[in-house]
Amino acid sequence: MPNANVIAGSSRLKHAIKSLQDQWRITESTWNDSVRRKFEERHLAPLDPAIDSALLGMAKLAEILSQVRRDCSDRSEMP
Amino acid sequence: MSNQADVHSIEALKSFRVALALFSEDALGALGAVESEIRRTLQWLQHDRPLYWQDQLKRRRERVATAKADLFRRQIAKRPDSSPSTVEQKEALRLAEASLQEAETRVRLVKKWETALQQAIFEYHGTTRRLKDLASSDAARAMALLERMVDALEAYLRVEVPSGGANPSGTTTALESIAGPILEEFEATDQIEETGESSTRQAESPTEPNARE
Repeated sequence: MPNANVIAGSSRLKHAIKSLQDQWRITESTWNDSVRRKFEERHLAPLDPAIDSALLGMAKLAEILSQVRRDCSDRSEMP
Repeated sequence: MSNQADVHSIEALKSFRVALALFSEDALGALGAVESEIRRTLQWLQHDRPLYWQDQLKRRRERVATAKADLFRRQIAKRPDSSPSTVEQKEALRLAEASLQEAETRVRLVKKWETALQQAIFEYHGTTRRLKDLASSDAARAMALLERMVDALEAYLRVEVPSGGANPSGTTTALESIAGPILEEFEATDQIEETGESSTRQAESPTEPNARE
């Protein structure tokens, strides 16, 4: 079973970016000019690939941490 | 853009600034929670596990020795007229040896993971480095930029509202004409900082080969 705490972190991150994107859609509706586009390009566009990369890393790490727990625990300690 | 629209824009910018602050807090919190889990697992693997399995090795070796002695005692108790069963003792010895083998395997796995986990953590940090930068320093810069824009727009509205809300540029919106120079100023500062960081990095690693070489 993947590591629960890392999965929780991953869920928190997904929720965080979704909330930000929702708020940005509201902001966009009242701010539509070249400054907004530059701001988006400079500060928001880099977030998506960074989030994807982090989520992928977290998923992989969760598997590894679970594997470490399985491999190094005594049977009597396993849940 | 009318003054009313500008007010809406200002509220939207303020709300987005708050959303950005929350995002930064949540993203860094999520990364921090993972770091805590990494530290807990490392502590467990490097300190708890070696002690636990060394202790188990000792206990299980003793159990094998005891099972062997029990079997031996049973075997020498054989008489020409009666031969007591050794099935139970043999089974106990088999279980004790299997348990010892398991402990030996776990000791090897703990050693293996001590190295492999460090590598996995290093790779994980590679996948989160960009997000960490964006959620900390870049988000802070974006929030400061939004704050400057809001302050400037509010100052503009304080002057413009009583006089009927004229657009200062005539062709561009108040938001664009006021926020544009602020954004450019921030970008110029960023470039100076990036150039400075780049120079510092080069100065710190003079032996690093130039990308063009």
